[in-house]
Amino acid sequence: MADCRDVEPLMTPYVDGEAQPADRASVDAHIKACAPCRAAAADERTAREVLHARREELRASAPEMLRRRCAAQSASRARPVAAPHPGGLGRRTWIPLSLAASILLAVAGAFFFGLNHPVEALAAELAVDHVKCFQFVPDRGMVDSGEAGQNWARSHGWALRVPSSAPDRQLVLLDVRRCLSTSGATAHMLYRWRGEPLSVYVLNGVPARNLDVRDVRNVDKFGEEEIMWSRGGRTYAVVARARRADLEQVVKYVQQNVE
Amino acid sequence: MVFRRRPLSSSAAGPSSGGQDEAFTSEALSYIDSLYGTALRLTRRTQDAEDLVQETYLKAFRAAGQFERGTNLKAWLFTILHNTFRNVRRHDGRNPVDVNTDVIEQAVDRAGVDQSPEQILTRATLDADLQEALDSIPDAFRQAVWLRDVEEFAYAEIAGMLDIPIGTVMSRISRGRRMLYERLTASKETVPPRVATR
Repeated sequence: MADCRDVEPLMTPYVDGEAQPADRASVDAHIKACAPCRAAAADERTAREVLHARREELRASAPEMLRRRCAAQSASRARPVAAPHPGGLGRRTWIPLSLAASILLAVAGAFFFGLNHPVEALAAELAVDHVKCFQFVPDRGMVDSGEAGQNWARSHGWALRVPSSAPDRQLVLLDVRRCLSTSGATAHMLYRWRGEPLSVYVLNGVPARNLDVRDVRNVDKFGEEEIMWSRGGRTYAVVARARRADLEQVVKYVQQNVE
Repeated sequence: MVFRRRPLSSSAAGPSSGGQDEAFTSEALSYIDSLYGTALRLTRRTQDAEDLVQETYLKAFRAAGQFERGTNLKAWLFTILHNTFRNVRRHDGRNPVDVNTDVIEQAVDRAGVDQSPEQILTRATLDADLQEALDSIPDAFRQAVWLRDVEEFAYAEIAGMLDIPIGTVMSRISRGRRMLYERLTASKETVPPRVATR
């Protein structure tokens, strides 16, 4: 008769009901005579039954924001990419190739354009991020602002007011995602405004004194018009390619609905 | 047949290759809950789990051309997930597979608690109890048990994901399940008035 060591590798297929008939007979014969192996099989079967019975409850549901980000990544298939990302659980992997380019440009900007002021550097970074992020927005039409705000709070732990789409202003909310500036504590709301990309950034916990954005500032970066302001411990920025006077109209609407 | 890359302009893609892309993408995304749940078990942190899943999809979409149609897409995604996780762990200086299984086997001495399977099943009623027991098992064993009993993969598929021989997969499942049993019964011992009898 098979001894305990012979039986051990057969135990899991046996318990799973996937053992070959000969193996099954061999385990049956062994555990009939061997109490410890009989107990081991019983324990294993019990644990298996518990897991099977409670399988659905053990499973998790992916957060909505994660779903959207992953869906948006299918766009990366269309892009000629030399090599896969080398891996790593970095916070910065979720917009393909974006952060490196963003930081590089922002840093380069600081050097080459003399952007040594933190506001200028941030403005440069956001302008680059704005252009880049719109390459990855899935075209699913309008997104519900209330739901997006709730998802944000759930995923990121801080409340976010998301200005809703405004048909009379030709403003359509497309997506809300985490931006990589300031250690990921930035919400990036992506809109289609008069058919063109418009970004609203909310930097949580970046108060005015750090950035010296006391009043509304207009910044022109890489051809993108940018309006920034700080209030209540947060800094806000609206970025779009537009005439300043036009952008200021939208900013008024955003300010009423985001702060 | 192999999924082909779509040209940059989707309008330039033929209807059939576009359709294949869509099918691949939507099937891949349909496994996000499974991937996320598994990533949570691996990383134990929601933020790390999200990053891991996102990284997995990024790699999967870029390597879509390498996926052999007709094979198990879910298993393929899980393999990417585990490879990515291993790379990260290696980078961190932690290796979940590096477990002295003999020591652990000795530790899996039965508690000697006289409880019927039904009693244990009934008493593992709280999600938290089961989750806690599961999380208390060493990574290598938990992964094998999870992939088998929750995600229902075949032994050979799990062997591919974890990059270990199929015999090792089976013995880890076996030991992992018995460890789980042990934890479940042990945690119940502290619940009065029930006292374990030998």
